[in-house]
Amino acid sequence: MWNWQYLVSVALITVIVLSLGAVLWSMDSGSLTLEPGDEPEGAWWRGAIDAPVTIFVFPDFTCPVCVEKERLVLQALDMYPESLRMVYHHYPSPGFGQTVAEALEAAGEQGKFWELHDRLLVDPPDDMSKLKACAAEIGLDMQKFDEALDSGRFKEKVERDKEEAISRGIKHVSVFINGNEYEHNPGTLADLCAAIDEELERIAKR
Amino acid sequence: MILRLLVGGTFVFSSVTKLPEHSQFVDVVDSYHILPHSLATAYAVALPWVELVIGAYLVLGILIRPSSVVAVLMATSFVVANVSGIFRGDEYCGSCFGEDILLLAWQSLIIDVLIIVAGVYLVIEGGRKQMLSFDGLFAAEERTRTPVSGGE
Repeated sequence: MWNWQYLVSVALITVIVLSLGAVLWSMDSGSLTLEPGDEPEGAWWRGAIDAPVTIFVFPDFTCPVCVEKERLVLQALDMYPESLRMVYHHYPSPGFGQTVAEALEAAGEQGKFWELHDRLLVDPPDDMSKLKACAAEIGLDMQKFDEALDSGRFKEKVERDKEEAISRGIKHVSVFINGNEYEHNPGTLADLCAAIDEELERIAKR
Repeated sequence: MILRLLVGGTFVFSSVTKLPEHSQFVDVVDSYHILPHSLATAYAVALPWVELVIGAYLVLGILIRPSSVVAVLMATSFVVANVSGIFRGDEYCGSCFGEDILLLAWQSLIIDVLIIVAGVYLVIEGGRKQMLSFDGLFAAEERTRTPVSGGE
């Protein structure tokens, strides 16, 4: 079977397959960039209003890597109080991730989006009872909170946020520093600070 | 033949979802923290290509046994990653078929185990059963060309 005709045929087929693969490979748009001030509609933000560096986050609270990244970003916000602003945008996985995102919106309706966000980072819940316990702990009106979740009032907003992110080319949970995708996953606080310092230096040189 | 098509087709589909998002796939593999960063990068870059070629070989029935061995090895690495993800608490497998098709971690684990079983079967039987395969075609041609010496 292993004659030259067989080998040439296999080589030809392999080249064709690899060529098709190369076409698919070339379709990768690589790292996405977002422009500061170009945050998606309805996004939640915190930090210095005129900060030179904006960190855009697109997390999913059921993803341990995302949760760790969020923790690092919050630590960085404390370290750079005048230089950093954080813009949050929903990017949940289906199922419980979606529920957590809607819970955050429900908390936001009561003026406690960031309180619940920070509480969820301490010990991310993996079921509804733990999620509700977190909500009760930060002093939410639980009747209103339960009604918001049961009615699905924020389902569309969360889905719309995610669809908008996807339409902008954000294909997975991400963190952007002034529009440039932060490549570490999750990396360390030192990695994040190095990236922030690099951006601050770049801005200072302009 | 059906097993070949199923296993091969799965790998082709998997590579087709990964190749257009290969830069993100590197991050995904890195996030499992199983391999050091440089090895994780090398694995993430090479895997979609190997999946594509091996998948195509199995679908077409080329080098069935060696391709099946590689398929089993790949599926074994997926099992390791999935089990590690499950222990870590990951609900979904984000590296299986890209971000557009999210499988629950246990679902992807079942698929990987089935691929290993099918792959082992193909390794054992693949040399013999070459129906509608490229290798079978060449083996048949070889038989028609080779003169059979008969008795008196």
